[in-house]
Amino acid sequence: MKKLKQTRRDFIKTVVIAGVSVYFSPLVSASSREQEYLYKPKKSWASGGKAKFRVDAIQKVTGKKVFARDFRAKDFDLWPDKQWHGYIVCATVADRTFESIDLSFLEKQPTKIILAEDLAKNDIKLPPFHGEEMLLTKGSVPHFIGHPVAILLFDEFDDFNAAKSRLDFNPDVLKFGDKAELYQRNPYASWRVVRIAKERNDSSDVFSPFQDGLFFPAYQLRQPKWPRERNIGGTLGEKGMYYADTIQQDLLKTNVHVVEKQFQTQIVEPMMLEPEAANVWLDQATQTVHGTVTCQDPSDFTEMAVHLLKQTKQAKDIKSIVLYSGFVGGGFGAKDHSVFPYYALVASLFSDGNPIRIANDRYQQFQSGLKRHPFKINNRLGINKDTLKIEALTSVCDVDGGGRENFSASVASAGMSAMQGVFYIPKSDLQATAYHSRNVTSGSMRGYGSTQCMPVVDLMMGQAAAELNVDPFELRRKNLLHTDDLNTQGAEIAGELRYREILDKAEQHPIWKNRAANKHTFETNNPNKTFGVGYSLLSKNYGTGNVGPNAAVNLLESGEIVLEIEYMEMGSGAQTSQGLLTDKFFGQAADEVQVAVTETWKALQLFETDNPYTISQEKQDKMSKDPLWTPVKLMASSASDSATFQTEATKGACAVVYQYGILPAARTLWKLDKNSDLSAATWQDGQLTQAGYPNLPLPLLASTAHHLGLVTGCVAHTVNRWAWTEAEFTIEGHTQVHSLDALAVRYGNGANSAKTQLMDNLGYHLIKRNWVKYPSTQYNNAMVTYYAPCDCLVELSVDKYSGKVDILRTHSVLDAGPVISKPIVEGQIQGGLAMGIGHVLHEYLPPFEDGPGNGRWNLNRYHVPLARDLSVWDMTLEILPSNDSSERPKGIAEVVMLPVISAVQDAIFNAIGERFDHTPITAEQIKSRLSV
Amino acid sequence: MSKSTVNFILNGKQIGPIAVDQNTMMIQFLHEHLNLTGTKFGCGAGICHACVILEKTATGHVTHRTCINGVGSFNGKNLMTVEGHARIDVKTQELELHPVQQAFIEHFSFQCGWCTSGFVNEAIGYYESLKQNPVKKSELRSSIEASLAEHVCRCTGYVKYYEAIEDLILSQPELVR
Repeated sequence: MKKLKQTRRDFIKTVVIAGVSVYFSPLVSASSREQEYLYKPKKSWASGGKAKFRVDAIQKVTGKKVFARDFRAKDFDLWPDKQWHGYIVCATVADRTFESIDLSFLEKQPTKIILAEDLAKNDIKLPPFHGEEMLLTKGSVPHFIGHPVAILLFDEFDDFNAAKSRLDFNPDVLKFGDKAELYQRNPYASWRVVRIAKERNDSSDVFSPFQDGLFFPAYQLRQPKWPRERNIGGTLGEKGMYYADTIQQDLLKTNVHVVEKQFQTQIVEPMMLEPEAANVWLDQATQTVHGTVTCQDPSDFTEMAVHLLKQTKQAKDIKSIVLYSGFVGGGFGAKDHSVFPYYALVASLFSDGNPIRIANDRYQQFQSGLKRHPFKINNRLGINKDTLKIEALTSVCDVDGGGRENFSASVASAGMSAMQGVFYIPKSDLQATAYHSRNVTSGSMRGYGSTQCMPVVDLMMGQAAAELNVDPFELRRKNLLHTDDLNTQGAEIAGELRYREILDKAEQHPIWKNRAANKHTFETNNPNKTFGVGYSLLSKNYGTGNVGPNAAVNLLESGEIVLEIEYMEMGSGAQTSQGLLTDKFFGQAADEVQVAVTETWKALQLFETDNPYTISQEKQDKMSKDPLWTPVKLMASSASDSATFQTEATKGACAVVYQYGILPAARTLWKLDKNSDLSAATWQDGQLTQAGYPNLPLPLLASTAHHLGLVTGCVAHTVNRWAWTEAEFTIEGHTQVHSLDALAVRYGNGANSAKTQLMDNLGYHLIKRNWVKYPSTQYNNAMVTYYAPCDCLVELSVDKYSGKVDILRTHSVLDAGPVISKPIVEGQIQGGLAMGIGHVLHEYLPPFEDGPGNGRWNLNRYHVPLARDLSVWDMTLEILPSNDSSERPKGIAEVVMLPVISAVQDAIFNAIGERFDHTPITAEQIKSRLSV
Repeated sequence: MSKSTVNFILNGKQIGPIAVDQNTMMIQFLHEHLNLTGTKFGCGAGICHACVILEKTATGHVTHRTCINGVGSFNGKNLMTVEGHARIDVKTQELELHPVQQAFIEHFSFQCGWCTSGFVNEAIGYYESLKQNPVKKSELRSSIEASLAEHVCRCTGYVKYYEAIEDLILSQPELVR
């Protein structure tokens, strides 16, 4: 491949942080340009509003360099060709003090060795988010197993490779002293959510976090200590504890059937197929850091990188950072706020001006990559024996965050608030505490707490049905959440909940209806196996509560559409689905979809002042009067967010161009009055049609809009805090309310000088809003209000002798809201099923010394589902058609992996009559129960 | 550091003879020496099959894992990586994918794409083998399962890879009997 001929003009300046200019360089498009992408595929990627293939399909199926891990120094023409390679040495014990490192056995010594003392000498520290002790200090106890101790730099690949083969699995590299006490600290966070409902249809509560606020514990002996006083008229905490006590009393009532469940989930490796890698070069001449990293959060990474660099002796005068962003080869949350790239960044300060590449192999990825948190769950669910309605739920979750905090506080909170599943619970006392441990750090992996918590209550409902001798569907039906209900935080559920409809469908599905006959037939034909059917209906919350998506669309004079979105493409198909959204407004999909864009949003000149999660209503009201203020400017890329949040900004931008560009152009071509009603105009085969008038092809409309200087481009921003923002704008003399808080427009090439003067150096005219209404700050107490439901019916067999489970058939029903691209949603469901089956049956990492921190884990010991572990040919699904034209697409990438977890457990119980209180359920464990 | 001589055909081009460190794995040679990074590193232990490349032999096609096989073991072979399958029509400047690649993109078979090069090579080997030894229609699914069995995909649940191959083969009557 030729070098990427990127000049400094290709770098897109985004922000200035602490005096350092941050640039992004779109690796994929630059790479494409150099890799003969002038060659077009025979067919365009979409037609008739449907994708024929993914926008990124050709690049990926032909093996082009599009991932950050693909790039070496010699690929960039601005970089020196010489590539250095780095190796991170990690401690594999956590109960001894580190004394020294011994590399004498290496044939050739590393060119440089970086130890904690070198970091200290140069004032190098991790960003506060990632904690302390980037490299373990001599004389200290590792904070966790796998704690990095040294970074070795090699100036030749062959030397690096030879050394690596001697360093891997070598217990003698690091010398440790005598046994010492484990590192300990207070929990990362502790949450408690107590709610006492009034009547079910009452919109207020006796007590709830949404209404009254959250209270927090003190810590004593590294455990949360909740207020001791119980006082209905006391402080918030005392009041909360008073009501928590009343729930305990309710569970003692004689007419309440209580199901108790202690459940333990495992440490799970995300196993994204692309291990993390980073390649960083400090250009000392220009004081610029260039880097390409495999991260999901390039904006956050660069911001933290600036602060890290500015405090160092070597890079305190740093002027710029250039981040080359590529596609992400799978992430599942584990490349979001990973600590990994900072090691390559720091290594670049010691590599004598040479680019340094650190690329995890799979053992290293197991050792250092973020994991799914293990939860220890202790639940009590009370059901009224007379009414079969849930009375109350109490839950205590101990969440193992591992060695660094990362997102543990947030995951614990999300898991706790997901506990209720699809059920209405009038009284609840839910606790979750995220603890430090010597395990590998856990982070924001797919499911984000729900994977661990939500299946448990559904299983408890199944158990309750059996114990109360009632039909499990009937028990579920009696307790389903309704759209107007309040959740366990006391917040209103947003959007229609189609739980009953999904439940009804499952009950009528042949897997359920014919289960007895199918069992008989199967077991007759397979005498060594037992047959079971299981069911689960779950609903995953999505969204983070404060989201600020941006999008821009431009209609070129040729009629081509260029869409820019904030989102990163991680494989979930955001690039493709967003590209389809233009069809409704322009009669065709976008010709070009640029992802991970950052520069364009500057046209909106927005600024933030406060943490959007803690800002007061008073401050928000005051700041909202400034038309350039917003509670939140950007959004992170997570798989379940693009369909809902990015879509709003994309559609908002398209609607402005349609209304102020396409329609006025059509009126001109049809010789209509400028105020004539074109609400009946529709797109057919790429042409705008209106009864009685000739059809207008998009290129004609585009050229006309440009010629007349109409609006041909728009950049838009909106804010969601469990509700959408509204603001009024006056565009081209028309005043209208949009679901946006900021927008800027671009006028066509024929715009007069008065209009062109309004456009800034990015080519946009900022339209300041007349007024804005942001969602109330009270929604910050809601934690979550958006839910997407999915169910799963599972048919499986259990081998009576080996305990092996075979998945025979699955059927899933998903409510995704209005679907943008069906094959992409199908792919999410199918992939989610596979990951869920891995979670419940196969994937397991032991804690502590035998766990992944010891650097000896790979796929030979960690089994991710292969096709034979799934019912590949019998994985049916139904995506509910949206029945509400105002409904917005839902975030579904997480929920699709959840119900299969509890459905498989339910089916195993159905097959062998045994319940398990942990995941995964292995063949050996089943076998031991069968032998008993 | 001992050197060994490398000499093979890759994507129709002669590579070598050149001397490389004898400990170099084929995938390292592709990445660090040839700068061909379409072949993906997954597990480095020969389990996930993301790194599979294709060998054309006198009798058919054979796949090899490049993360556990030293570059020297490929000497004398005629090899294809994922970069080598698509063709450019010199007249129209249009890209023509191999039928397997085309089937994969039309079925939305992959998501993140990291496992794709391995699937492409394995499936092309399988597809080409059917030209000489058509599969019984009744055994097609089990035959697909057997050919792709060891490939790990973390995103998709495999369904759309399998359906793509099945549809492709069924669309060509000469491949089934």
